[in-house]
Amino acid sequence: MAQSTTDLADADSTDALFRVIGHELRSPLAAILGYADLLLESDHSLYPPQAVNAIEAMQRNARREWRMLRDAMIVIRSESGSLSLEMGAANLSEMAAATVVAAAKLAERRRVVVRCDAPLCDDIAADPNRLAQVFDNLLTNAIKFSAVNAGEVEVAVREQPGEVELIVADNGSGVDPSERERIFEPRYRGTRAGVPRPTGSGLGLTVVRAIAEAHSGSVEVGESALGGAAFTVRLPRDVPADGAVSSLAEAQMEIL
Amino acid sequence: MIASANSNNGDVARSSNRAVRVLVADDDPDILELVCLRVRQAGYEVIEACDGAEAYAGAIELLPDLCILDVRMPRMDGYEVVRALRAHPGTASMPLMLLTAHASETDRTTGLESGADAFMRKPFSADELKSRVAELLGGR
Repeated sequence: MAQSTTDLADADSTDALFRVIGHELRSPLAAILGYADLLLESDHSLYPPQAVNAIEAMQRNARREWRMLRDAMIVIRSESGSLSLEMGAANLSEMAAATVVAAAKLAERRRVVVRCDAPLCDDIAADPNRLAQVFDNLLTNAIKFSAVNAGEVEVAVREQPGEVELIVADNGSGVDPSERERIFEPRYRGTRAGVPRPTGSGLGLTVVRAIAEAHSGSVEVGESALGGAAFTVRLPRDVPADGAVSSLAEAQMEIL
Repeated sequence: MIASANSNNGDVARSSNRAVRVLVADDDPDILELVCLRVRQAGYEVIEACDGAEAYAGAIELLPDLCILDVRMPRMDGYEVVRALRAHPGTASMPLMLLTAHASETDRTTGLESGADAFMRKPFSADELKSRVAELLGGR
């Protein structure tokens, strides 16, 4: 498994540059998010009325930036075959509930009703941080693409023999059958009519697929009972040992 | 130069029931201040260090109950500080947490090999920081 730095020098330099930038952006973002949290915890009556909105807008946008960065890093790693998993125990029903709570503000702003149907299930062997990203991306996506001003989203977790399913359904305009494969390609946004061009990296679904596949799982999109799209992620309870790919190339990068 | 945030509380620190002290090291002053603030909010006394060498010297001299160390720091990086503290009899079993901007497993592996007890990724939430600190201090 020995890999020399020469391999890295041969690697796509844009790819390497993105990794460095990605890492370097984390500290400033941590500072922005940390100080915004601090301000919002303080007594709001101390601020002029527009200040809280302003801080919340900064926080929201810093989080968006953080998500884009996180998604871009996954796609870059996945494309270079260096997406690694940090295996632990993950409980999908607990994660579903936590994701719904975390997205409550976004849902409220977009007037979307989010339901969670995730009866308590057993833990599976998975990378909890990466899976949280799958939940987050699918739910954020569903909220954005649900019907305007009458949005409905349902997050469900179902136990199946040998695997667990996560289903995120919306009542938006759905995904045309001709686009159901391409929608997982980087930067492909689909042609859903009447939907305002969404903000985001355009990488969310690519990330979902990359992470699902790294867990030896899968993702597909179909029609939901709500009338829109339904994304189903299937994850095996136990990932085969070779499911986690080594990140040696990245190791070389980070030592520099 | 090591700055002890509560240096005027020297009496408290010397009493048998002395405050729990956490050394925080980061070369980014904004992150350093943020982490220190959250640690103080959780009720601990803070020792600040602005690079690895200062963190090492401070840990050896002041024997804090926990060190929170950024990975990338000038003079000594976080891994080097951890290795040096582990090699020193007075700090061999001191709880040590690395703060990292790198999400990859590599960091974790290198860090655990160097002897760190825990990791925290940037960005982190206040709750996450507080619960990790409490966990490492084991109820102290």
